[in-house]
Amino acid sequence: MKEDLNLFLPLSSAALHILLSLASDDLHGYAIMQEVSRQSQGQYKLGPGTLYDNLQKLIERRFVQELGHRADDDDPRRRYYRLTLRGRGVFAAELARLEEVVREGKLRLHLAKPRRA
Amino acid sequence: MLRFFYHWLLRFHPARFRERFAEEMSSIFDDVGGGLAGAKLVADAFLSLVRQWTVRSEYWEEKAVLSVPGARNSPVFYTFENYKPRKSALIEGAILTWTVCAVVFLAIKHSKVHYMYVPSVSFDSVAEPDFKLPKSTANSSPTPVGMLPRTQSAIEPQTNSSERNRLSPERPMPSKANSAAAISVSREQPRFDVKLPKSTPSSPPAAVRVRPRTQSVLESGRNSSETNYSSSERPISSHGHSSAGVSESQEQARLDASSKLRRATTIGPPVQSLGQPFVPATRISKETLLSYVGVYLTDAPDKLTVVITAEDEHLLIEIPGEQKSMLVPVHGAKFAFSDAQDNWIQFMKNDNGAVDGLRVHRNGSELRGHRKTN
Repeated sequence: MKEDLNLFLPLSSAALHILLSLASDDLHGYAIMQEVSRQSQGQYKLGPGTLYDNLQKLIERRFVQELGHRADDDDPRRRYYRLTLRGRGVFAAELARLEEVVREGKLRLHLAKPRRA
Repeated sequence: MLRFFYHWLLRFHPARFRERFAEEMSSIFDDVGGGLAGAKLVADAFLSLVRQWTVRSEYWEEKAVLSVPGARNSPVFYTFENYKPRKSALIEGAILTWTVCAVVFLAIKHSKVHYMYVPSVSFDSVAEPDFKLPKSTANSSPTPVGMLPRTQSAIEPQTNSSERNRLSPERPMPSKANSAAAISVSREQPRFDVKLPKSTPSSPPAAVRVRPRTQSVLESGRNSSETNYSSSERPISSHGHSSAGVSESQEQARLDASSKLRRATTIGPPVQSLGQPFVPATRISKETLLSYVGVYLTDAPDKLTVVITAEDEHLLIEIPGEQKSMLVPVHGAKFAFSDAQDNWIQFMKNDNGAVDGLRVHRNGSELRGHRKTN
């Protein structure tokens, strides 16, 4: 039976950006922080406390999987994280919801366009 | 310094979070470096610490079921044999305990409600009912006919030697005082002991126990059938009088007197508490008080001059060689010494109602005196 992932929506901004960062590649914590900052052109920055608090929740919900240390990484303390299928489905559902929000917002802005005097 | 503080903050995170992410957070701090960025990470760690201890309680403990392979459908048991609390947990517990105790003690210290146990003080006092028997009844016998036998129900032998001395036949009281009852309030048990004086040397002393307000053992003639007498407690007829030999008017007078005596003994003397100012139980008008004021001369051999004065609606008594004492009204013309409740004084009146003498009862002895001047 297919799970209803809409129960987890809407995602918080931090969770959304983390899932977005992990959507293309497996990353460690510091790389996720840098990726989030790059995606938002520096407007949204995650601190380690916020990052790992959200990672903890995402791991508990099995949206993100912890991979552990990579041999090619020079810092043994770093752990890598991967987006799971479940997490990918939730991320897709959240994007669809946001698309609907954007579409609805654009439509209302167009209808409510002020007339020139 | 910032790095040390950052690691110190990480150490106070919940164990599960710390074991899982502390190394990575430390790694990020090393990657970011010190300066302003390091300070921001310290602030972030502080916020994370507060967040983890306040709104993330569900992540404090590791879920053991998930960590045990194949344990989803089987019960899991824990053992505490090797369990030892962490040092940090002990320190935190000690700090928390000290804080809670300090708050509680401060609250108690600054609270406005303080309970204090004030023991009550009981005293023995001789009370005399304020009534007079008809002369025919009083004169017919030293003991009021019918009353003494009825009040001798539930009689107990008088064993107190001091009471015996106080009511000894060597100092007989007038016929009016024969109905006087010594009432004492026991502290341990809420009961009144009513001790009847000897009416005559031949009649034995007796004590009647009266339960306050609930049961009066003093029975009037109307409800004598309700009293259960044992064989040794059966009413004793005094001087061979029987109810058949008394006229109807005398019987009615006895019944009235008995009911008055019962009211007087049921109410009993007031019980004062320590730490409270003594408040007289009876209010007497100023005119009445002034009628007692004067100089009294006691009879031989003492021949003491007793001075009674009035001050602030109170009578004061001055006996040569002793300090002035305040008199507290007890009943009628009877007053107790405020500093010694067992001592009392009673003013005597003549046939015209004027005060012409007194009786001073002190420490078991009694003095009588007549009024010398006003």
